[in-house]
Amino acid sequence: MTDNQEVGILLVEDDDGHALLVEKNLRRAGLANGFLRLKDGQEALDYFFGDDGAPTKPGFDSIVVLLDVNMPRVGGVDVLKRLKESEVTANIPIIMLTTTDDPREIERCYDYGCNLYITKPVEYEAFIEAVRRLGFFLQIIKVPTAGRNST
Amino acid sequence: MKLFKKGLLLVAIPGLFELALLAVLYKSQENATQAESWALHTKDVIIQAAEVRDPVLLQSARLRSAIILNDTTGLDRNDLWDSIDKEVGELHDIVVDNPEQVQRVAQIRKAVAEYKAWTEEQVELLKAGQRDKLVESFRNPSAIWLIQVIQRQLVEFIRVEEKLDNIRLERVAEARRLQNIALVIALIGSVLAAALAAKIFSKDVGGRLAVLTGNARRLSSGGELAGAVGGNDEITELDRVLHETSKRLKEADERARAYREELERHARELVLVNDDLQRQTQDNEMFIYSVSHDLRSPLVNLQGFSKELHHSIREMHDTISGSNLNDKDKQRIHDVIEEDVEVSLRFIRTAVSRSASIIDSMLRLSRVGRVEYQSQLTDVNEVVRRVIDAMSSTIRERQAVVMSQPLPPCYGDPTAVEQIFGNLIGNAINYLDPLRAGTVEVGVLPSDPGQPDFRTYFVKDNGLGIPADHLGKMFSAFNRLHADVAKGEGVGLALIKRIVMRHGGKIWVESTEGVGTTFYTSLPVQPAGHSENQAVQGEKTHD
Repeated sequence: MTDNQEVGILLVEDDDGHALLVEKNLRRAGLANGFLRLKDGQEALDYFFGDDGAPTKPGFDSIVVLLDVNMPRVGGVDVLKRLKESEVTANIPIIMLTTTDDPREIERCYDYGCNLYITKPVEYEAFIEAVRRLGFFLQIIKVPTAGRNST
Repeated sequence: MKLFKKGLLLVAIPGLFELALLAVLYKSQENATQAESWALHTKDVIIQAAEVRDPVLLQSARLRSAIILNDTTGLDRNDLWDSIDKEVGELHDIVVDNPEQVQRVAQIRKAVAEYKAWTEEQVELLKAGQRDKLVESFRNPSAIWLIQVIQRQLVEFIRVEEKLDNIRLERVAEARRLQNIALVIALIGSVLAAALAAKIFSKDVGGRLAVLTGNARRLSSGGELAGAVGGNDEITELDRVLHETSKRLKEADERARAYREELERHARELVLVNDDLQRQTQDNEMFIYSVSHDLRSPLVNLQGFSKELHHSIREMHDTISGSNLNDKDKQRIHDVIEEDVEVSLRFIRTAVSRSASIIDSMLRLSRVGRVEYQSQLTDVNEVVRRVIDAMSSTIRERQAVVMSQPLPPCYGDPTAVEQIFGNLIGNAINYLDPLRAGTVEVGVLPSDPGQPDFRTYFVKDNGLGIPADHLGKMFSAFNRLHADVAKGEGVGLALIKRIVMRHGGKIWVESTEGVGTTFYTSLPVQPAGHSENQAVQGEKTHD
């Protein structure tokens, strides 16, 4: 566990408030290095894939994606699907963030290969706890081979 | 014409024919009889003619013997002449109808008279003893001729009569022959007439009866009837009745079909309306779901940033404490932070928590309509036991007694069924009257023959009860009666009502304030749309 292997965190979230809260709490937990926030699914797809649909980089070894489910234009589930379809991006750990606890939606996300599903709790303490667990999780999955099968 | 008349005709036609032939027969019989009697008559005439000849010959013989014996004693007697007269008279009498023979009789009479005159002349001669003259007159051929004339006339008479007799005998034979022919014709004719009448009758009645039978058969099998049977008798009447019946049946059929179509149309409309309502309910649930979902997002911010504010205030508090402001100002700022900002934030956080729990309830409520049930035969005894176990601490706390009868299994989602009983038993325990020993009874009503697919379970308590004017709102969401007694958003009953309805059942409540409350819920005991025999099996399984 060395500093130069720190995970880059990509947050895809349309709600500015949520984004700020997530960032603040990640910082408070000491996990904000390499933090990047994108405003919706389309931006996320543009980040990972070029105009020709090919991945923009040969690999995204040290990145973790926090993906909001409900977003305008391209939703989180669509981004999840695209990332898991492409060989290059398939191993990127993806954590779904959502306000719903609908078991069917959760199941759907796991079917598409998300690594973790976190319900955004309204209880702030619980939310912090969730983010802390997230941070702990992120530290564990720094191993490059981490992917679908590791969860 | 009535059948009786036809039957009568059947008998009467050959009868009439026979009667006519009988008349002919009778007539020919009469003719024959008459011919016979004429023949007999002729024989009588011939005999009578012979009767005439005998006394003439006798008289002649008497005369001759008198002449030979020369004795006139016998000649004075007139008996033979009288006899001849009598016989000739009789002969005349019996041929009086035949003028030709009457004329002959008259000639015979004349000849007899001549002979009598001649005989008397001879008798006179004999009496006078003039034998010579007598012999001479005898030798006179005219004397013999007189007898011969009579005899010849008689012979002629008899010959004519015999000829008549022959003719009459022929007539008799002819009449007999005709009679025989008439007899044969009458026999054959009557048989033929009877056969013909029977044939016509059977063709008419039999043929129409066959049509009638065919019509009756078609009527019973619901087919189209043949055309009306002709005629004017009971068969026609019966056929008419059959046709009318057929017409009535068709009309009734038509009406029944119209009703059926009407019913089917209504059923289709109901299905459409039902579908529409279901869609609307789904839309509403979807709407509630998305609204409450969307409301969560800002709540996350409210809650999160109020907490952030709290952090910032704490930081500010610490900063102020460590600053070089005078104590009075520090105290003043601390008071503002503690009494104004913190209190305000606490109110905000409470409001947000409350909103969040309401939204959660709404989400749960909307999810009831969308969750997929795994319906199966569920042991309600087991469900109730689990519910009571889970609440055992609360039950002990309230010193309540919860009793459960043996309950039949129901057909439903086990989780949903547990939710139903959990909610009802939980409510019963929560709203017990603290002033008396609480009892909760779980049971089932006797099965209703009108609803074999459902059983009605109940949860009965002796708790606080529900005011009459509140009973109608019991199953509405966010409607709390005893908000002070237990926590909750007031969606429990609305939730389980939706669950029960999705199982096809019903839920209702009876209550008396201050006495107790009974909740009833009917649940299916077998999959929907099962037939009667499966209903019987369903009954058996929980016997």
